[in-house]
Amino acid sequence: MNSVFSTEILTLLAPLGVLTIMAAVILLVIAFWRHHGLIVALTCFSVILSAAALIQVMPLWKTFLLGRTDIPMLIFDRQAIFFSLIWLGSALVIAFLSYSYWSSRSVFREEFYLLLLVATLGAIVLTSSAHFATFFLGLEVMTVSLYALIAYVSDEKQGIEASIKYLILAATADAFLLFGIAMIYAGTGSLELVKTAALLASAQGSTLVGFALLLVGVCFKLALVPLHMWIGDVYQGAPAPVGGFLATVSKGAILAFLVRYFMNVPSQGGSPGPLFVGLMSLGLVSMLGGSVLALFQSNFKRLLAYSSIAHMGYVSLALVAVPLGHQGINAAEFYVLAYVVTSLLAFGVMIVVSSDKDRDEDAVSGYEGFAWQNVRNRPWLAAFLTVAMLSLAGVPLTGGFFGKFLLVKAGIAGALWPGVMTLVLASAISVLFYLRVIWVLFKPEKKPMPNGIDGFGRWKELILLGVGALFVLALGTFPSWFVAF
Amino acid sequence: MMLTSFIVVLLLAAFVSWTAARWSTMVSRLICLFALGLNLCLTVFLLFQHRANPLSLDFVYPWVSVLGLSFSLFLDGLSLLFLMLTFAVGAIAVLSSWSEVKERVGFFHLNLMLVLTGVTGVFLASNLVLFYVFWELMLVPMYLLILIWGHENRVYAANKFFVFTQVGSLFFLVAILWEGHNYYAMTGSLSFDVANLVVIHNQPSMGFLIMLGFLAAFMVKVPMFPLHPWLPDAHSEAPTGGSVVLAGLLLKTGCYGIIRFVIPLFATEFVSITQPVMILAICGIIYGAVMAFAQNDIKRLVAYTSVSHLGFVLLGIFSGTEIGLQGAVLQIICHGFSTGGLFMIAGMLKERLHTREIGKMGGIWSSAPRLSGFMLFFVFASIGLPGLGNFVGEFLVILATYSQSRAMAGFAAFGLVLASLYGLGLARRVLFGKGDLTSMRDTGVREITLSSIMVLALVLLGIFPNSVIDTAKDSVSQLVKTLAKVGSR
Repeated sequence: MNSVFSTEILTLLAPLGVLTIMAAVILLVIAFWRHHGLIVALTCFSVILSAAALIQVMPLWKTFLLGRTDIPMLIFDRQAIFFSLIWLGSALVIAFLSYSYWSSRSVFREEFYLLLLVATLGAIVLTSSAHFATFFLGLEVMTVSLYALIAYVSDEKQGIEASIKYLILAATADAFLLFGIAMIYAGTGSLELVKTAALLASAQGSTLVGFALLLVGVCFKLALVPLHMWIGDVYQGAPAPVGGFLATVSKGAILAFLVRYFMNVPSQGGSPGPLFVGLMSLGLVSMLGGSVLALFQSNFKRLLAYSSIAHMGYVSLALVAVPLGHQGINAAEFYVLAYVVTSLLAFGVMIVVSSDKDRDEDAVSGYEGFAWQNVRNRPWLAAFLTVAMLSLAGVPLTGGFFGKFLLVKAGIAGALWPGVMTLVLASAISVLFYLRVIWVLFKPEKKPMPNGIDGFGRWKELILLGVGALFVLALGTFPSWFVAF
Repeated sequence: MMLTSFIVVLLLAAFVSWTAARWSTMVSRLICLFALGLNLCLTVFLLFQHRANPLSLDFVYPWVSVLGLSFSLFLDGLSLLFLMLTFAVGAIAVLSSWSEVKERVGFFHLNLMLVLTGVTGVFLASNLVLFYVFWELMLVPMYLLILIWGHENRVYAANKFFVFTQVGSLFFLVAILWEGHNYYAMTGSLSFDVANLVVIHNQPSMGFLIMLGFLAAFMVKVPMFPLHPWLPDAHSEAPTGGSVVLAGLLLKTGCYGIIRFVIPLFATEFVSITQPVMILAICGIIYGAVMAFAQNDIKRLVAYTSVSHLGFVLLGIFSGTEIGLQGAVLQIICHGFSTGGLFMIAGMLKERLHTREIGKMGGIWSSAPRLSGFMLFFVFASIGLPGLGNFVGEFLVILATYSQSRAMAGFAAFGLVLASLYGLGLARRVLFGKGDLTSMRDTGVREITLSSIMVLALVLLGIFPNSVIDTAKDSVSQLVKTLAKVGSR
C-alpha cells in the first residue's frame, strides 16, 4: 500500500476512475463532434463499465487508504457496492430515457450526460466514504453538478430560479455541515467516520453541537421538515430527468451515508440519545407534514416532491433503528432500493410523456384518461404509473409495501412507538393523493383523442419502464431475491 | 396443491378473460363463469370428502422464511363453507353484470376476478402476512370497480371505501408485526404462522392492544356500528356485480378474520370484550334497520339492511357459544344469497327504469310479475321468514344472546320486528300500489335461472340447515373449547 499506483489500488479505484476518464472523454468528444446519440451511448457504456468494475471489486472488498497508511478514505464493502450499483442503475435509466426527452428540446443536449456522470461519481464517492473529507468531496461534486443540471433549460425562468434557490440553500447547509465537522474534529480529534461515530452516543458539549450541525446539514439535503422549503420549487423548476435524479440518487446517497455512519454507533441499549431523538422528531413531523402538503397539490412534480418528504420521514424511522440492531439496516437498505426504483418509474413515465411536448407535463390533470387513450402507448404508461403510485402508497405485492413492512418491524423491535404510529397515520393520509393520481389516470375520456403515434412508438422506453414496473412488483412479491435478510 | 389451485384458477381466469375481451365479451364472461364453476365443483367434491372424514388440508410453501413469511394455506370445514359461498356469489356477480357492464368488459372482469382471488386467499391463508397480502389484494380492484363502473357519486364512495379500509388495515399491520415480534422475543425465531403464534401468552394490556389492531381492520369490514359509514356509499354507488361481491363476500371476510384469528390468538382478551361489542352489535342492528326504513334509494336501503344483518352475525360470534357461532356462520351464508339477490333485483330495476329512487317505482307487479315475485321472496328471506335460511341463523343467534343477557336478546328480537318494517315497506312501495312507470320488461331466461338458483339455495338452507352446521361443527367446537379454557385459567 505504499505506492499510490499499485495494481491493487487501481483495481479498487477502477469504478471511480472509469467514470472520471469517461467524463473527460465525453468532454473532449463534445468539443469536436456534437452527436446526441453517440454521447448517450458513451454515457451508458461508461456506467455499465463502472458497474462491472464495481462487481469486480466485490470479492476483494477493502478499505482504501490514501497516502498515509492509517487514514481510511474510501470503503468499498458489500453495502457500498450495493448502493453504488443502485446509483449507477439510476443514472443508466435516466440517461436512456433522456435521449428522446432532449431530442424534442432545443438546448445543448450533450453536456447533460456529462453532468449526470459527474453527479453519479459524486454520489458513489459520498456513499463509499470513510472520512469526512471524502464525504464532503463527494457531496460537493454531486451538488455542484446539480446546480447546473437544475438550471439546464436556461431559457426557462423556473429552472434558473430553482437552481439559485438550491444553490443558496444548499451552500448554507454545506456551511452548517462544515462547521459541524470542524467542531466534531475539535471534540474527537479525528475525521474518520468510524471513529467519530463511535463517540456519537456519548458526545457532550461542543461535540454534541457539532453532531447536531452535521445532522442539520444532512437533514436539509433530505428535505426533512422544517428544512423542506426548497424541495417543491426545485422539483418543479428542474427538468423531469433532473427531478428523477434529485429524487433518487441525490437523496439516496445521503441516506446511504447515514446508514453507514450510524452502523458504527454503539447501541445504547435503551434510550437512543439526544441526536436520535432529534432525528426522530424531524422524521415524525416530516411524515405528517409531507403527506399533508402533498394533499393540496395539483402539480405532479410538487406532489412527488412533498411525498418524498414523507418517505424520507419514514426512512428516518429506520435510521434511528440502525444503532439498535440489524433490522434497521435491512429496513433502510430495502427501503432505499424500493424507493429509488419506484421514483424512477414515476419520473420515467413523466419523462416519456414530456418527450412528446416541449414543456414538461407536470400538471396532474395532464394525465387525465390515460388508461383509455389508445395512443402513444398511454394505457401502458397509465399501468406503470399506477404501479408506482400503489408502491408509494404501500399496497402489498409492491416494493413500497415491503419497505414499510420492514420499517414497522424495525420500529417495533426498537420500541419506537411514536414513529410507528405516525407512519400509520401518514400512510393513511398519503393514500388520498396517490389515489387521486390513479383516479385521474382512469377518468373516462371526454376530450378528443390527441393525435399521435399509434402502435409502438417509443418502444425502447416502454420496455425499460415495463421492466421497472415488474421490478417494483418483484420487490414486493419475492423480496429475498434482491436483499439478503 | 388443491388449495393453491383455487387461487391459481381464478388468477388465470382473470388475465385470460381480460385479453379475451378484445375478441368477444361473451367469451370473457364465460371464462370467468367457467373458472368459478370449476372451483365450485371442486369445493362440492371436498364437501363430500369432509362428510366422510372431517377435513384439515394444509399447503405450505416457503416465501421469505428468514422473516417468517410463508405461503401457508389451510382448509377445514369452516373455510370450505366460506369458499363455497365465495364461488357461488362470484358466479352470481358475473351473471348479474351480464347486461349491465358494456364498456371495458375485459378490465371489469379482471378486477372482479382479482377481488375474488383476494377473497379466496383470505379464506385460505394461515400465515398472517399472507392473509394481509390477500386482504389488501381485495381492496384495489374493488376500488377500481366502484370508480370506473359505478354510479353518480362513485369517486366519493370509492375514496371513502379505500381510506376507511386502509386505515384499519394499517393498524392491523402494526398489530401483526407486534405479535410476530413477541413470538420472536419468546422463541428466538420469527414466524407469522397462526399455528405457531397461538403459544404466545401476552400480558393483558399488550394483548388487548394487539387484538384491537386486529379488530380495527375486521370491524371496519364487517362493519361494526360506528365504523360503518363507508358501506352505504360504497354499496349504492358500486355496479351491481360490485355490490353483490361487496355485500356477499367482503363483509364476510371481516367475520372470518375474527373467527379464525382473533378467537384462537386472543382468547382471554376476546372474552373481556364480548359485552361491549355485543352492545355495539345491537346498536348496529337497530340503527341499520331504522336507517334502511328511511331510505329512498333502493340500493342504499339494501346496504343498510346489510349493516343490520351483520349486526346479528357479530352478536352470534361475540356470544362465544357454539350455538351463537353456528348461527353466525349460517347467517353469513344465507345473507350472502339473500342480500345478493336483493342487489341483483335492484340492478335489474335500475337497468329497466334507469332510477334507484323508490319514490319513482310502484305497481311493478302488474307489469313484471316474475321479477316482483323474486323480489318478494328475497325480501322475505332478508327479514327472516321461517322456512328460509336467515330465520334459522337469526334464531340461533338470539338463542345464544339470551344465554348471555335477556335484555340484549330482547333488543335483538326487536331488530327482527324492525326488519319486517323495512322489508315489507320496501315490497309495498316498489311492488304494489300505483306507479308512475307503467310497462316494464319482465325477467329474461338468464335472470330467471339465476334467481331460481338463489331461491332454491335459500329454501334448502332453511329446511336443511344441518348441512351447514355439521360442516362447520368441528372448527366451531374447537373455537368454543378455546374460549371455555379461558374461564378456567
